[in-house]
Order: sequence, then C-alpha cells, then structure tokens
Amino acid sequence: MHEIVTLQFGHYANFVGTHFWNTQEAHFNYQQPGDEEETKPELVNHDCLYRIGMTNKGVETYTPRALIYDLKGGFGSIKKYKLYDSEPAQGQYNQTQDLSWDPSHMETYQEPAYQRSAYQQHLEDEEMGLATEADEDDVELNATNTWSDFNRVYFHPKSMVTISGYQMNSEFMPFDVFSYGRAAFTDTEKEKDTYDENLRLFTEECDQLQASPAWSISIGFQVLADVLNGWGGYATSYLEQLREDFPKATIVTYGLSDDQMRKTSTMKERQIGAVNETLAMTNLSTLSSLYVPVRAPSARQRAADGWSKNIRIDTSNRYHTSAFISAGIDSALLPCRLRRSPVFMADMIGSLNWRSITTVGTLSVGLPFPFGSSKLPELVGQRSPLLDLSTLKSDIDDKVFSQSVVLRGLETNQFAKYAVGTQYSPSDVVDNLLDTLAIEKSLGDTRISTPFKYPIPTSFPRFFQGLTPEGYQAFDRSPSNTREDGTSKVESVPTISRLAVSSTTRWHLQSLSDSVKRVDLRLLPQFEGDGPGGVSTDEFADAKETLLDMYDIYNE
Amino acid sequence: MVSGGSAVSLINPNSEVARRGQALQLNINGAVGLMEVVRSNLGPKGTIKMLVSGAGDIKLTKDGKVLLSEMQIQNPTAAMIARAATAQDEITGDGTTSIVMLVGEFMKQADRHISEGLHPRIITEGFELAKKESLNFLDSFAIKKDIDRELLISVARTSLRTKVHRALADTLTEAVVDAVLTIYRENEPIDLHMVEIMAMQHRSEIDTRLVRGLVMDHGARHPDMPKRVKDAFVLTLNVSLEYEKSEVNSGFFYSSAEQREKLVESERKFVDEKLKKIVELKRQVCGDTNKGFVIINQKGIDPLSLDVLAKNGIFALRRAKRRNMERMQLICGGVAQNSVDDLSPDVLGWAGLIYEHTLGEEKFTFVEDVKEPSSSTILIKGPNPHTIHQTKDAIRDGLRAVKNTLEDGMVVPGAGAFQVALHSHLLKFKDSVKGRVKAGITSFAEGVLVIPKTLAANGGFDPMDVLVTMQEEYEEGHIVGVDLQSGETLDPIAEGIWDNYRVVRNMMQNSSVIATNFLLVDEMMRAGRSSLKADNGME
Repeated sequence: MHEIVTLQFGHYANFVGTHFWNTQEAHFNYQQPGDEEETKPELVNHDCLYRIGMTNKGVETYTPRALIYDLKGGFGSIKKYKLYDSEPAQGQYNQTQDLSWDPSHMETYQEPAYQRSAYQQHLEDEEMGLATEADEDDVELNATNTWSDFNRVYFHPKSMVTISGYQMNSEFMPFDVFSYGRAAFTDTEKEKDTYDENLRLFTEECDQLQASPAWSISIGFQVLADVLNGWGGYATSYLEQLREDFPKATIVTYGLSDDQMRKTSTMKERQIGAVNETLAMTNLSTLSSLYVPVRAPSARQRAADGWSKNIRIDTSNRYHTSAFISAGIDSALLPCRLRRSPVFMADMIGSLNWRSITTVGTLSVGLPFPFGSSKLPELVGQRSPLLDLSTLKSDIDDKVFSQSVVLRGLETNQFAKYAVGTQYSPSDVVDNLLDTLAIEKSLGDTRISTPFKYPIPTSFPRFFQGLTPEGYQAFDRSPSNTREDGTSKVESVPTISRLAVSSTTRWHLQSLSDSVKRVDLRLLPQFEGDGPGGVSTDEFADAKETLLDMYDIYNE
Repeated sequence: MVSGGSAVSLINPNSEVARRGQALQLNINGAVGLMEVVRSNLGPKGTIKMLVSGAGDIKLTKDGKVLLSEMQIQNPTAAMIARAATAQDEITGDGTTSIVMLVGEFMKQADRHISEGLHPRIITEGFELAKKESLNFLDSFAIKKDIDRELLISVARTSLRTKVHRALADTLTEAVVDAVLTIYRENEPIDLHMVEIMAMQHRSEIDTRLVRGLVMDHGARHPDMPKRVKDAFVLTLNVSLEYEKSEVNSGFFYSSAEQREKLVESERKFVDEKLKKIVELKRQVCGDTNKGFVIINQKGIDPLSLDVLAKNGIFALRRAKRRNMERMQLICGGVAQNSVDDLSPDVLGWAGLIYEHTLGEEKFTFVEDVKEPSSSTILIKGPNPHTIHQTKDAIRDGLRAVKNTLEDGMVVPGAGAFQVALHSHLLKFKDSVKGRVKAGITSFAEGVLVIPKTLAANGGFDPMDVLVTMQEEYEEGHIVGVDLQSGETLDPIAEGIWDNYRVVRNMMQNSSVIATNFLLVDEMMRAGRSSLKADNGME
C-alpha cells in the first residue's frame, strides 16, 4: 500500500483541508451490509489517506492520516475526543471517578460555547434520526465563519493540535511573522511533543508497500500551509525535522495564500507579507520534493478569464475559494490513489521535477471542465480551460518543462457513437479530442483521464450554474435541478487539473523578488526577534539571493 | 515632561493614547484582575479549575501555568504578565501562580502610595532595594541539608500536593523521586528527558507507576514475531531497513518496466545486505540457545524486511522515538548504531524481559528486568484524556522539583514561613534606609504577605487571624508556616514542607521586575480599532 500523510498548517489551510476531507468522504462507496455480493468496485484506494483504528471500547474507526494544526480558538465547535469518547458527558461529571476531588473545591470556567453552525446542527440531528440527509442541501452555508462549521469528518483525537502561545484573531499578539512560527514550533514541541506523540502514530504504521511485492515506495506527505503569516515558519521548522527522519520521502507542499492573509493596507504590512512569502518559498521549496504556491482566485481574475461561466464564486469568501483550491488538490494527486494501475507519488513528482532543481511547481484547475452531455463536446477553444492558481499570469512564451494533467469525467462510451463508421476506437476519439485542448505541450507530459468525476458533497459551496445534475453543461434554459437562487444542484462534476513545472513560475519569483528587494530587515525588528526562530539579516539576504537563483532556473 | 501622547496623535490621528494616571490604572487593573483569577489556585487547598472550551472539551487543572496558557486572556497587561510568569515555569518548573499573586499585590500596594501623590519611580526604587535585600535574606533563610531520598520525597510531595489531589500526589511522589534518582549521576547535569513519560488510557490515575525500564508506544508489525522475549540481546539502530527510491531512478529515467524492475532489484539487494549482517550477528550471539534478539530501530523497516527478521526469530520495532535511542543505551547498555558496518557483540545491550501489551488500537512494548538502568519510565494511567493530561503536568513539575533540589543543594521552609520571616526582616531593613523610598520597601513587604494570607484563605481560615498568630510566633524565634488542616501554625521543617530554593529566588526576582516595569509605564497607545477603555475585563 502507498500511504500518504497529510499535514495542515494554518487556518486557511484547514479550510482547504476540510473541503478535501469532505470530498474523500463523498468518494466512499457506502454499502448496506446485506448486499455484499453486488459490490460496486471502489475506484479509489482509501487506505492511502485513511487508517483503520479502534477505540478503547473496541469500536472500529476509519480516520484520515492527517495532522491539523491551528491556533487556539481555531477549531471552532469540533470536539477532539468525540469519536474516542470514553466517558459520560460533562453533566454527569461529578458522579464518575473524580470523586477524589472535593467537589466544593472545583471551579468551572466555561468559555462561551461555540455557536454550532446550522449545518453542524443538521448533521447531528441526522445522527439522532431527526433529520434526513436529503435536506442537507437546504441548509445555508455561505455565512460560514470557520472550517469546522462545514466539516463532515471525524478525526482521530491525535489529528488535532492547538499550537502554544497564539490565539485566533488576536490584535494584541497576532501570528503574522515567519519568525513567530519557528518559535511557536519550538514551544509547542517542548510542551506537547507532537512530532513524537502525534505524527509518529501515523507514520509508524505505514508499511510503504506497493501492490507488487518486489518493491516498496517511500511514504508520501501532502502538506498544506498558509505562507503569508507565521505558519510558513511553523511549516519550515516542521519539515526540517521531518526531512531528517524521512530523507527520501516524497513531500508535496502547497503554499497557500488568499486576500484575507494578504494584508496590504500599509506599506509595512505589505513588506511583512512579502518577507514571509520569500522565507516560506525559499525554505519550503528546499525541503519539499515539489513546492506549489497556490493563491485563492481573485475577483480580478474572474473578470479577465472566461472560467466563471458555470461558477458563481464569491472571491472574498474563504469558504468558496478554499473549495476551488481543494478541487485542484484532490484531482492533482488522484492518480496516486486509484485502485487500478496507480501512479506512485514518488514517480509522479520525480518526473515533474526531473531536473531535480525545479522544485517550484504550478497548480491549475478547471472546475467544472466545460463539457456538454448531448453533443460532441466543444473542447477546441481559444482559451485554456485551466485557471493557473500559482502564478496568476500566463504568457504565450511560457515553456512547460513537464506536466501531469488529470481529466475527470470523460467516459469513453459516451464517445462510442462518434467512432461508428470511422477507423477510430472510442478512446482514440477521446485522445484526439484532448489533443485539441488549448494547453501547452511539454516534454514530460503525463495525461490521465478517468471517468471518475469530482464528487460534490452538500458541504461544498453551491456556486455552480447552468449544469445538469451530472455536472455537464445544460442546454435547457432552466433545468429541473436549478435552485431558487439560480444555482444548479449537482452530484459531481467533470474537472481538469494540472500540476506542472513551467517557466511561468519566473513571473512569480520576479515579482516576489522585486517586492523584497528594497526591504531593510532592520526596520522590521519583529523578524530578528530575541528568542529562538529569529531571522537574521544574513539569512534574509541569502533568501533574496536564492530567489534570484531560482529565477535563473526558470527563465530559460 | 513633554506630552508624548499628543505627539503620537499628531503622527497617527487614529491612535488612542492613555496617559500617566490612566495608563497606570489600566495596568494595575489588569494585574489585579489576573491575580483574582489565579488566587484560588494557590496551595494544597486551592481549588481545582475545570476549563470547558467553546466546543465542550474539558481540562482540569490546578497549575497556574496550565491555567494561564489555556485561558483566553484579552487584557494586554494581563496577557503580558501571564507570559512573563509562565516563562518562570520554563526555568524552574513551578511558581507561576505565586508570581502572578505577587505582581498583583505589589501593584495594589504601590497604588495606595501613588494615589497619595508619590511618583511611581520612588516606589520602584524602593522595590529594587527590597528585592536585593530579599534575595540576601533568602540565602540566609534557606537551609543547606544533606540531600537524601527522604528530603527529596518531602520536596516532591510539597510540590505535587499543590497540583493534584492528595491520593494521586502521594502515588506520584515516590515515582518522581526514584525516576530522578535513577538518572542522577553525581556532579553531572540532570537531563530529565531521560525519564520517559508514557500514558495509557486505562484504569485509574492511582495506578500510575514507575517502570524501571522503558515503555514504548508501539509494537512489532509482523504477526509472526514473538510477543514476549526473555533474556534478550538488544540492538539499538538508526538504520533504514526499507527500500527507498534513490534520486537517480526517478520516473523519467527508465524507459521500460523491466529496466525499472532491475533498478529496484539492485536497491533491494542493498537492504538485504544490511539484513544479512544483522541476522549473522543474531546467530553469532544466540546460537542454538533460547536467548532472544530484539531490534529497536529509529528508522523504518518495511514488510519484506520484517518478514526476514521474523523468520529468524527477531523481534523488531520501527520508527522508535529519537530519544529512545539514548534511553535504550542507558537502560540496556550497548551502543546505538548508525550503520550495520560495525556490528559486533559489544554493541548489544541486554534485557531480561521484553513484551508487548495491546490496548484498543494502541500497542505498548515494555523493556523490563534490566541491570542497573540509568533511565526509567513513569507510566501514567487514567480513565480519560483530561486526567492523564493533568497527571502528566504534575509529574513534569514534580520531576523538576526533585531535580532543582539536587542541583541547589538547599531548600526553603515552605507553607508561607519564608514570606512571614521576610516581611519582618524588610520592616527592620526599612529603618536603615532614609527618605521616601521607604514607602516602596513597605509596599514590597506588605505585598509578600499575600502568599501566606491566600494559603490560609484557601484553606477556609481567616487570613488575618492566621497571619497574626504566625507573626507572633515568628517574633518569638520560631520558623512557622500555616497548618492547613487546623488553621493553626506548624513547623515546616519538622513537617517536611519544603520549597525549591531556585523557585523562590526566581519568584522574588521576577515578580519585582515585572511589577516595576508596569509601574513605570506612563503611556499606552494603540493604533488599532478596539478601545483601550473597553478592554479592562477578562474573558
């Protein structure tokens, strides 16, 4: 088996991660215990991302191999021990073993109870049999405050770690500097030993064995990290330690940012953000097998590109933008999790970064992949169906060094009728069609097409429009799956996503380099700090130098 | 003084400035507010706090440090004091609550003089003198003693009883003392990391015990490996026993499946060579006897390698904690190996018994019955996560208390005895000082009494009554502390109530520095949106 451990650092990373895990749950092929004989084949090998466990009461569990780091207050209404609960609720508290405490000597400090979202309430009602799954779609979600509001998944208690010293949304002590993250890592480890106590739980059990008995492939890590604040530093320190123990493991890191993280109201804020990004970019790309910067789609892009035809995304809403990113991340590594002829993560990343010096990649997504159900799809177009989330800029001169394109939702038998009377087979028709996609070609092209569409759980933003329930473009004016607000109710959608190593990255490197060129770190004393984790002016100068070196690699 | 406040407003009209008296008042309110939060914690009779998070998760604690780091503190002064006080815990492992109490009380006492028109600078000068004198006095008051197990037990008990309930404190006392004594080597620094703390969610916290050996939180990953090995050679390794893709054979370079297979095969051979060396060593030392052979590896072991080891009767653990490499050497002897090139019988350790224990999804491996171990494990039991957490916090503090005692070579009579004596001493010292700084010294002296008063109040006694009795007896020449059972006085030396010298020293030093800093703040500004005035409360 080919295990992948997912690490999530930061609040936005957890938004993306929550959508990711909700989608995994939607991938599950639930079966009634009775009808085992008519087993539908599972397309995805869930054991890559999930582990089997057991509670002390002997109940089997199936939980993500994931570690979720957030600030104090970042977990919202999630109860850590819910799944592994072994004691009566708080109300019956004093009747249990704690009688050894004199009850008159007990004071209770109750934080204001976190207001559970309507969606969470609905899920709970379903468990109690008070509501049905079918009604989930009616619960309002756009006002979602935090990722736990739309989380559908139970995690292992060791999956959730609150880091020491920082609170969510604190004005007094914001977690907004790379150096704070490195120091917080040291403090958190001193206090909680999460590397030994939490991560080891997930790595020790990994066999790293592939289907064929002759060889096994090293464990893979998928890392989601906020990079414009302290989390970049936290992830850096974490991966430094990880690399020591897993020198050859494949680590794919997505460095996430969105407008809420990108504070730009003062020059100082802009500078701090740019320095954070520079340090995260240079450090994480060295520590990872592939580092992929990912920015939330912005309103500007929306206006410029044609991708918004079937999607009504609110680019100021984290709940929306993180869903978009998550769709790309899910599909990008899907080939590694397919049950039939999977691609090994190490191989995929190895062929993307075949020069082994191009560790910064790009992620592009098409959600939905515009595709009609009743006539031969018009794939030939002026525009690429892909939205580049990494560089926000594409240029006709860009050279793609290598890429891995994953197309979901093309079923060969849909094309059978076009093959009739020609010398082509249906799959040739598909291939020919794909060749006409307005996507750059490269030396190291890998193209994977699977009929397996991207599933849309009810927790996903309801931002699609003009689609059939199957996610294809609708040709009726108002198909029956249209909601009152005009959005389409869909079960799954075809998508396209692409991981690439491309010269486009140079634009990103250049603009980052320009924005830190004139920054004098001595005027930003919070970086140097006085404790552990400080960034010296030398270190910063080295990072700037590294950016320029990287630029040269991509500017060919 | 030029009004700095207006200058700031000039530069940034949105900033809000609190000046002079107002700033001081904000700081005093913050400090006193924080003191009120931790007040009921102090001492063995302090109350336990149950913290219920917004999501409903429970945490039980009586430890000031835990309390301050768990609570969401909104007031900036309180947050800074909390930070400074918890930093004390980093250094000495105890005293957080006391610092917060002292800071709050110092500020409160100073406020009385300041409101009468005295400049804060005069008070803080008095504080500085009083602090220096206190530290001198502490040196004469502390008692140099032969450090034996009995004394260590007294110190550990004193610390633990302020953290957890009595029955648990008494269970933990011997465990922490013996754990430290196991790793202690005269004239060498004590590394508490060499005591492993392992938790099993199971039974009651009273079942927590010291294991003279090592407990690890994982087991063998092969069904055919023995679950129980006696008389075993132990090989501690940091060697990868898994097939790892090397850089050169990344996907791009092989053109056919056969070519790939070949590459993989040669890589596999590399691992097989390592296994062969290990198996050879096992044959050499075990021969045909019943002796066991156990591998503890920090790196991974893949299923194929596990298979080879299992076939040869070897019990192997993979991905052991980094620190367990060191602990294994201290427990079983032998030398940890970073490669298999220098394997020889000399590098092996030995253990009488190694066995696996399963609990739900968790597996534990016990290494026991060893010769003169110099590392050990405290095995925590408890019915639920919050009891385990609380026990773990208490054990860490207990270990620190024992370590401090061994390193200090002296201890301070507890139960408030030091503070009562110090108060009396400072009042005499005040008379030797001229001028208005006397007020600062008085404030300081009155301030330290907050400790015995609070101890008594938390025990349910009238603090003034208790204090007066103590002071009278002290003037008669006795060293007296509060007896929390009767509300009378007791002799802490006879009762074995001891505080750590360095904890008390740091406490005096830090509380005085923190209070001084806040008293000297004469301007506070904030450029953000929320208001300073609305922020006095604490959540």
